[in-house]
Amino acid sequence: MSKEDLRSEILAVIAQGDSVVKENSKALIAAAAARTKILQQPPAVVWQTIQANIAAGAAAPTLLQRLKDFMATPAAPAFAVALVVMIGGAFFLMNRATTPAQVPLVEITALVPQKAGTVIVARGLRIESKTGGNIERVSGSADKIVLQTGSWSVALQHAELEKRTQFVFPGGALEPLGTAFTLEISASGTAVNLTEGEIRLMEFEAGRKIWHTREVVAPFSGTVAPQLIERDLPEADYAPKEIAKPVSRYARLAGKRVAVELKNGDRLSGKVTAALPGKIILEAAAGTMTVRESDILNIQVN
Amino acid sequence: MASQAEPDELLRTLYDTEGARLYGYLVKKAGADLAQDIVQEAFTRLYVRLARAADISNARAYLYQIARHLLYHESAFARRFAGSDALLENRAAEPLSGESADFGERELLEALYGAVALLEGKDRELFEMRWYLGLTQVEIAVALKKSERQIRRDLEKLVTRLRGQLREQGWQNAAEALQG
Repeated sequence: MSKEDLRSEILAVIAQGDSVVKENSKALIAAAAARTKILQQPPAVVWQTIQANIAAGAAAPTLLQRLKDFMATPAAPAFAVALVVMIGGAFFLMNRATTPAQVPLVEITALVPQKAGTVIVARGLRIESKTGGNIERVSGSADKIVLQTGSWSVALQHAELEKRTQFVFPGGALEPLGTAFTLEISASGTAVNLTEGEIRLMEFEAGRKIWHTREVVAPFSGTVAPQLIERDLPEADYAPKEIAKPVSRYARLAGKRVAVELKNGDRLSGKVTAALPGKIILEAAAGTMTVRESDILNIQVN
Repeated sequence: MASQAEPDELLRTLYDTEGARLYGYLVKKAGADLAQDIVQEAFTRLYVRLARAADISNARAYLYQIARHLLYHESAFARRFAGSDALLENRAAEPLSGESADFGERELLEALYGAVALLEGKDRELFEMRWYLGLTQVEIAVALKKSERQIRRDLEKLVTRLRGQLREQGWQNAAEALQG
C-alpha cells in the first residue's frame, strides 16, 4: 500500500466510518489496534454497584423526572397558565396590600407631590391621598395645608391639634372644627364632603376678591367653583377663651377666724378678710397683716 | 432496541459489549476512580430510561451520551482536567498490526496523534469517538445531541484540519519515511 493510499484510508475512516475501507486495510487495523488498546475490563464491583443501585430504587423516577412527565401531559399548558395567573395575582395583591407610606406633616415644607395611598399624619390629624396629588404646608399662627390637586380624605380631632389648621384648595378653604371630610379637586371645582363634625367653609369670589364664610355641619356635600388658590384667608371672629382666674388656695377661709403657723415659727391669729392669689389678708389684734401663702406652714380654723 | 429486549437483558448485553471500552476510555481520560463512578452512574441512568419504556432507538449511543455528560458536566473531571486531554497524554504508541508494524507506519501514526493533539477539544472528542470508540455518525450524533448532518460536516472539517496539521507538522516527515 502506498503512503497516499494509507493516508487516504485513515482519513476516510475518520470521516466516514470503518465500512468505507476493506477489512484488511492497514488503516482499519490501526484503528482496531487503538480500540483494543483502550479496552479495560471494569472491576467486578462496578456491575455489582449498578445492580445495587437499581435494586435500591435508583431506577425510581426522580422528582425532576416526575415533573417532566407531568409537564408532558396535555393539561400541562393549562396548569402552567393557572400557575402564572396565581403568581401574578399574588404579586398584584401583595402590592395592593402594602402598608401606606406615612409622611409626618412637619416634613412637608414646600409643594410636594404625593403618591396615591400616602398618609400624612400629625397629632390629631390624618390626611390620606386617594389618587395622589400636590400638597403644601404653610406654617404660621395657623397651619395652612394647601391642596392643589388630587383627592384627599381628612380625619382630625380638633381638640388634639397642635395649632389651628386650615385647608386651602382651589376656589376656597375650610377650617375644621373637629371633623372628618374629603376633598376632591378636579377641573370642575373642589367637592367638599363633610362626613363628621363641623367646618367653617370659606369660598373665595375672585371677581370681587371677597370671601364668603359659613359654618356647616355634617352631613354636608358641596362643590366650590374652580378658581386659583388664595392663601390669604379671612380671620374668624374668635371669642377668646375665658382664662380661669387664679384662685387662692385659702379662699374657703375667707371671713373666718384662723390661727396661722408660719414657716419661721411665728404664730398669728385673726380673721381672714381676703384670700387673694398668693396671699391672704389677716385682720389681727395688732392690725391688718398681709401674709404670703409661701410663708404659711399651716392654718387652723378656730 | 429498547422495545425488543427487557431492560435487564439489554443492560447486561450492553455492559458485556461496551463496559470494557467505556471504562477503559474513561480510565485514560479521567482516572480509574472517576471512571468507575461514571460507568456505574451511566449504566444506572440508562436502566432508568429503559425501565421507563423511554424511546431509545440506540442504547449504545445513549450510553455514551450519558457518560460524556457525566464526564464533562457533572464530575470533578470538568474542573480538574478542563482543557487537557488525558487520553492523549496516557496514550501509548499503538502498532499498526502488532509485530508487523514497520517504522514508517508508526511514524505516520505518531504524526497523526501529534496533529490530533493540536486540535481543539471539540474536534479531539470527535476524533476519539471515531478512532478509539468506533462510533458511527449516527451514534456520535446521539451522543453529542446533534444532528447527523451536523456531525457529518464536523467530521469533514476535522479531516480537513487533520490533513492540514499533518502537512504542516509531521505528515511530510512521515510521508518521507513511508517512501523510504
